[in-house]
Order: sequence, then C-alpha cells, then structure tokens
Amino acid sequence: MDRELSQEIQSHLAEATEEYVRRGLPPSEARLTALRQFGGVTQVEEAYREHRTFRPLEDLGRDLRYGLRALWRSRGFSSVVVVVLSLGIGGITTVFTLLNRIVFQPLPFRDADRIVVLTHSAPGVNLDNVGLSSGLYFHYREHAGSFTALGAYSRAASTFRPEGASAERVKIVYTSSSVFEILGVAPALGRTFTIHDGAPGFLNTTWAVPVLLSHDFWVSHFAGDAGVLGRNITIGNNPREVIGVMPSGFGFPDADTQIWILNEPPEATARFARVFGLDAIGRLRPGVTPEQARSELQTILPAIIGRYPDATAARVAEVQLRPTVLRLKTAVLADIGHVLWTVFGGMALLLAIAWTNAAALFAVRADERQREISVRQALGAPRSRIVRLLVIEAAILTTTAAALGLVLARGLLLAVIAFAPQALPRADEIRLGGPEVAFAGLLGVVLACFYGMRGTRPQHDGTVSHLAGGRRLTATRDTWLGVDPVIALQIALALTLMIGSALMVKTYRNLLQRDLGFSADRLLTVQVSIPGSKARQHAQIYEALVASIRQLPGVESAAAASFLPLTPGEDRYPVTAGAAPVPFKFFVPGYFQTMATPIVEGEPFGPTARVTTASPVLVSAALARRLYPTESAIGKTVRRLNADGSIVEMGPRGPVPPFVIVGIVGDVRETSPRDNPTEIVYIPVIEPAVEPSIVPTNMTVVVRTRVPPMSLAASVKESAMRVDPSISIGGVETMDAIVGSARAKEAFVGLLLMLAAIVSVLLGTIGVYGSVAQLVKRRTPEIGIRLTLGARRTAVVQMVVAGALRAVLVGAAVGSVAAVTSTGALRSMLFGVEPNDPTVFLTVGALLVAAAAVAAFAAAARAARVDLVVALRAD
Amino acid sequence: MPGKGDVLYGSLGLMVMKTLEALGPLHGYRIARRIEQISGDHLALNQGTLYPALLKLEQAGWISSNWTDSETGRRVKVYALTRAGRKQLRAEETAWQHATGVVARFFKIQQDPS
Repeated sequence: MDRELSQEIQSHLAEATEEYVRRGLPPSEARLTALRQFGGVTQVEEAYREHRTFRPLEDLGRDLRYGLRALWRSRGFSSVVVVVLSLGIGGITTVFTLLNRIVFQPLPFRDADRIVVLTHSAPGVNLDNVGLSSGLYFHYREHAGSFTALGAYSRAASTFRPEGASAERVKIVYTSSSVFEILGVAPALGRTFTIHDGAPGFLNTTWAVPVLLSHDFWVSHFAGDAGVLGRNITIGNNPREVIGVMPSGFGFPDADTQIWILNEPPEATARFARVFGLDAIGRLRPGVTPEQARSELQTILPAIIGRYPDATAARVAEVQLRPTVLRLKTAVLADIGHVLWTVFGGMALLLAIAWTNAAALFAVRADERQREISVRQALGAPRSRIVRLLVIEAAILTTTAAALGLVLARGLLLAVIAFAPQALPRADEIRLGGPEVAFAGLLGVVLACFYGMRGTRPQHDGTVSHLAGGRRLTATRDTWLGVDPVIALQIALALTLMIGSALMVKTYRNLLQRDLGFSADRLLTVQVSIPGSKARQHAQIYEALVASIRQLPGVESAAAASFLPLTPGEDRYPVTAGAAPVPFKFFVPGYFQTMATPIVEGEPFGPTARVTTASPVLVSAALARRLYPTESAIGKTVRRLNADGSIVEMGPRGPVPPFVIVGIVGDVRETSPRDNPTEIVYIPVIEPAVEPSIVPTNMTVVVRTRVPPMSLAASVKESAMRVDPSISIGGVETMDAIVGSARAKEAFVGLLLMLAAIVSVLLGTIGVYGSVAQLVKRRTPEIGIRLTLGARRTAVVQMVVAGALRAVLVGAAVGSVAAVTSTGALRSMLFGVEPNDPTVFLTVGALLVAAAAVAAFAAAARAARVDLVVALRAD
Repeated sequence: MPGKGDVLYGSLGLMVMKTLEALGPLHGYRIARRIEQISGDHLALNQGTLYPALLKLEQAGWISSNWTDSETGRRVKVYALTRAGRKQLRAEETAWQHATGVVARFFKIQQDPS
C-alpha cells in the first residue's frame, strides 16, 4: 500500500516537472518548483498512513463501545435476551454435537467407509442375523474378489489371573490377524497381529499365543507400564504373550473389550452349516459397493458344494443362506440416526420459540429507539451505518448467548453420557470441538443479522411523526386478520413440542410399568467364572457358592443363572426342527424364587428341591403353549437340536438324552420390555448334569438383599474367594441398573424432549405475558380515553384478554395440526401410545391454553390499574 | 471573499467529487490541476494534501480507483465517482443550497430598512 502511494506521488511529481519544462523552466528548477507545489512528501505519506490504518478499526471500536454502553443501560432487556437465546442455542447445539460425532463423522478406522460387516439369514433353518460358519469364512476368503481382506472374530469371557491377586473375569475377543489389518489402527505400544504370529497353530497349547490389551485395561492392571510388552500373562489357564497395547478410545467390537487373543478358525474341522458362530468384517475393494459384494457372495455360494462334508447340494438348498453386507458404520449406528434427528427437530422447535421470543423483545426496544434512529438519519447517517450499529449491538447479545449456549451444551452432554451410555453408540467420541463451536457461532451471526436489520424497519409509522412528536391516538399493530402473529407462532411451536414430549414420556411410563416377569427390587448381580479345569465340579462349586452367600447377613435369597433377563449373550438352540431357536438358561435351584418369578405348574425347583426325574428341565409358559397348546407340558420331553435339526451327539457317549419337562415357569420378558414373553428352556445345574455337552463356566449370581444391594458386593466377592479361590469375579451391578439400561433410549429421548418442552412452555407463557403487557403500554392513551368516556375497567380488561386469547387459540389450532403431521416421526419409538393419541393432544393443549390465559389475565390486570391522568398524558 | 488561505478539509473532498462528476475519471495530478484552475488562484493548495483526501473518499465508498496506463504510457491510478458518491454529492449540494438560502434570507432582512 505504501509502495502504491510512493508510485503515485512520483508519477505526480514527474508529470508536474514535465509541465514546467514545457513552460520553459530548466529541468532542475522545474523539479524544485513541482516539489514546492506539492508540499512535504513525508507529511503527506504520514497523513495517508494514519487514515489508512485506523479508520475501519476505529469505526468498529466506536460502534462496539457504543453498543456495550447502550446494552448495559438496558440491562433487563439484555439479560433476558441472552438467557432466552442461550437456552435455544444450547439445546440445539447439544443435539448437533451428538449428530456430528455419532452420525456424520466417519468411524475412527483407516478408510472406515470401506469396512463392512457380513451376516447371514438362513430361513431354511429359521436363523436370522447370524454370522459366518468356519466353512463359509474360508470359502469367501478364497473366492470373494469383492474384498481385499476378510476377518473373523468372536466375543467371549475368560479369567485373568494376575500374580498375587485374585482372579478376574475379563471381556475378550478371539480374532484373526486380518481383523486388525482391516481396521488399520496403529497400536499405542508394541504392534498388532500379523499372519505369521499364528504359525505354531492354535490346537497346540504349548506356546504363548499373542494378545493385545485395551488401553484402559493396561492402565488399570499394569499401571501404564511399558515393560508389559513381551510379558506372559495368564488368561483362562494358558500363558499369553502381550505384544501390544491399543490406543485410548479404541474399542472393537465393543467399547469395553479388554483383551484381544489371536485365533484363526481351524481349517481341518471347518463345516459349512453346523454353527454360525463367527462374526466377520471385511474391507471392500475400491470401487465395489456393499450391494455388489453381497450379490457376489450369493453367486459363489453354490461353489462350496463338495468342499466340506456337510456341504452337500441338498443341504445348501435346504439352508437357503442369504448373505448380507452392511457398512460397519450403518451396523454400528442402527436406528440412532432416526432418534437423534427426532430430538434435533424438537430442539429446532425450541430454538424457533426462543428466536420469536427474543424478536418480540427486540421489537419493543426498536419501538423505543425509533426517535434516536430518526435523529441519526436526519443528521446524515446512511442506512448502512445504522444497520451496522444495530447488527453490532445485536451481535454482542447473540455471541454472548452462543457462548453461554455452548456452556449449557457441555453440561447437557456430560449428563447424557453419564446417564444414558447404552442409548448412544460411539459415546466415547462425543466432545465439543471446532464444528460444534462454529455451529453455535453461525447461529449467533445469523440471529444478529436478523435482529439488527429488522430494527431499522419502521415498526409503525415513518420517522416524521416521531420527530414532530406526533401522538397516535389509536394504535395500529401489525396483525394478521386481527391476531397477533407472535403469540400465535410461539403457542403453535410450544404445543407441537409439548405433544411430542408427552408422547415419549407416556411411552417411558408404559415401559416402566411393563410386567417383566420378575422383580428387580434390591437385587444384586455378580458375574462369576470358573476355570475350565474345574468344569467337572461346576455344579458343586456353584451350589457351594450360592449356599455360602445365603448365609450372609442382609441376604434374603440367592441363586445363579447363565444369563439374566435384559442382558445380551444368551445362546440359542432349536428345540423343534424348522422352528426358530430358543434360549437355554442354566440355573442354580432357587433362581426363580430369588427373582420372584412364579412357577405356574409343576416343580418349583427351590433351594432345597429334590427331584427324582432324570434330566429334568423347566420351560417358560410361552414355550409350553407353543409345544403343547392343548395339554399340560408336564412330563413331556424336549430336546436340544443342532442347527441342521440333528440330535446333539456327544461323540462316543452317543446322543444327549431328551429332557423331561417337570415344571412351567411364569412368562418372563428375557430380551426387551417391548418384546413378547420369551420361549425358553431352563436347565437346572444339578448332578448328574442334565445337559452334559455344555458346561456353563460363566454364570451370574443374583442376590435379593434386605439392605441396599451394592453394600453387599464386597462380602459376596469374599464368599466366592472362600468357597474356591479359582473363581473369578466380573461385573457387579444392581438389577435396577440393568433394567434401566433396557429403557435407556426412551429415557434419553423422553428426557431431552421434556426439558425442551418445559422451557418452551415457560418461554411461551412469558412471551404471552410480555406481548399483552406491551400491548397495554402502547395502547395506554387509547385505554385512558375509553375509561374517561365511561368504559368500565373490566370491559377494558376483557377487550385486551380477548385479543390475546384469540391469538392463543389460533396458535393452538395451528400447533395441533403441525403436531398431527410431525408426530408420525416418533412412531417407531413409541410404545403403548399412538402418535395421534387424542387424550394427549387434548390434555396438553388444554394445559398450554390455560397457562397462556393466566398470563394474559395477569398482564391485562395491569391495564385495569391504568391511572387516567397518566394515560391521557402519555406520549 | 476569503483570501489565500488553507482550504477546509471537508470542502476539498467535495471539490474532488464535483471535479470527477464534471470531467469523468481522472488521476491525481489532473484532479489537482483542475481544482487549481477552477479556484482561480484564490486558494493556496498543497497538492500533496489531495492524497489523504482521496483515501478518505475511497474509504467512505464514494470514489473508486484503478491502476491503468495513461496516454503518455505512464502507469497512473485513476479515480472515479461511485453511485454512492453521486448520491452523497446530491445530498451535500442540497444541504449547501439550503444553508446558503437561509443565510441569504438574513442578509435580505438586513438590507431591508423597514
């Protein structure tokens, strides 16, 4: 810039010199004259520089200072606007953060978009959403060109035995080396698996199979010591070598996976369709879509015929395998996108209400400033300057509101993560970062421009009447067909939000009241495992453990089962060929009594039960109804079958004998409160073993307590140690917590929408109060005249309230229509209530109208107190 | 008649804009010469003070500038009036006439003996 000026000045001087030369002066004198005519060059340059630097900044600084002063003078207005807007911005920013971090951002893996999940449905054997069999895994790996890599893994639980401390149950994942290749995440320490690590073979138990630790596990059990690399640790009963630690925040397939153990499926004993027990992920070749991969898998399926003993043409035709290829992100997100967008919609409504509310406040202020603005315009300020001043003033308020909104969002997010972790996948990735701050900032800017520019539009008459001190005797108000649009809009928005939230709250209550089939009150649960070496004595160990716990003070009853209701991870097997498999639950006698689940018929299998029937089992009433609809199921038999419908064999010992049903258990919803009662087989853990081919080495102990459940956690653990030190303890939680997390999603949505609805009702009613109060203020002269002319005060009040109520009712009508159309979006989340439930609509509508009416009356009551003299004199 | 003295800063801007309106886009030197001609030696203008004034006008958005080649081949910065500048000129002229009109009335009153 300075250079340009110098060029200009030099050019100027050169031209002037030329002219003097033309006029006859000698060149040197010509130059001197030109310089003299010009004046001091350095002075000019300085003056230029001064103006150049300071002007724009100086203006901005002045406007800012002026704005701050003006806003400080109207502290009431400023604080209310900031609070209102920060509520609106905070709410929507919270949900935007969730959307951005969970739905928009790619998964934290290399090229995460190309990672897919493989599953199958096999309608021929009534299986849905299962993984791969070992045979399929090898077949696909060899022949499916759509993938550059395929990996298999399976979840399990085992025991970690640290030196000098008691055994602990840990969540492990057996995984092929290709899984880590596909995920492409670099370890925090050491290295991940390579294919060569499996060279000695997995049927060979003499070597230490390599394992990887999760970051949390490494910190909590090895104090973050890097020396853990290369060390052997004992998992299960086998030594494992630690070759790496994964970075913080990495959790595959679950956030709480603690140890990964290398394990390749055995090729020698692979089968086509006996057990579909492997979960699989793959990396798509560039340019291949999941759909293309899926159809390739379907096409190459028949080629598996003959490769495995059970891969006959007949069997392939019978099973009717249908592969599914889903992007990993789609599988992880499930329906959370829909849930989050719904809540986002709710928060958008809240923002709209806050926006309108603040706009009304700004309008009132603009009214009061009209005189000042007219004076400025008369003094020559261009419209752009005035707009800039107003926008800067509004911006001070909106950016403060945006900052407060971010603080609010942070608090809300912390609460959401703490109280509803099960509702949200990728919860560990949630944080307020650049995009979220930019979102809030953008809202602030848009709002500032909106309010600033609206402030310059003359609200009623032009500027002239203000300067002339004109008095308007009959106030005109911007109305649409006689109805105040600000009130109507706010009521409509608030009603829509309230109805949505009421539906979710009702859903949550319905789920809360749902009979699950057991009582979760004061129930402590403790996961335990016994080592494989003690499998033969498992019945005695569990009996002894439960008996020992029953002796503890404060214990009402105790028992154990292989899994609890509403917890995942049950194993399912078919009991009838061609029907869907049912869960099998192992239980220690006394389980149903501890859970307070009634026995409908037959043997209750209490703690002191002595059953003489061979292979006794219990079945749920639901299963009994299906298997034996017309007669009692007691005394009938039921068998566990393989996936292919064949009877389970135990090698040389022959087939497993059929079970005899000795009792029918009251219905329990084992899977989810929304589901029907579960068809399930209950196998008592007694001697001789009823189901000898499965040993439940992992069980969960349940204890009904007279005191707060968690207070007995320590003594229960101690009992386990005393009974058998090789028992390892896993997670401890109350049944209440487990049941709570089954409702986590509904709780999450219901809570957020309810918060938004409460704020919207507050804003809406305060908005009505404010609008009516403002109306009274503006029409004070008119009211004064009416009173003077003999109108009764009550009539004046009625007139004011009637106007407001008209707007409220119109708003309620519009809001109801909007709710009818938009609550359809909630349908998939609702339970026990329809999206257009008339009771909800009417109750909520009546509540809102009543609240608005009270506010209008309160404001209008002030109208009745208008002092005649003041009214007539008001200007 | 004001003698040779310093020209009021604000009026300088007005004179620049009026010159540009009358003669079209000009570069700095030509503007200075023209102002000297019109004011007919009644003003002692340091030509250099023109440049800060041009900057102020440009910052206010009333004139715009462009580097081009003049007829003599020299590279010059040419200034032109903007639409906002034209509006501003109209407003100033109206205000000026209004002010002088009011003052003139006072002189008329004085001259009227009654």
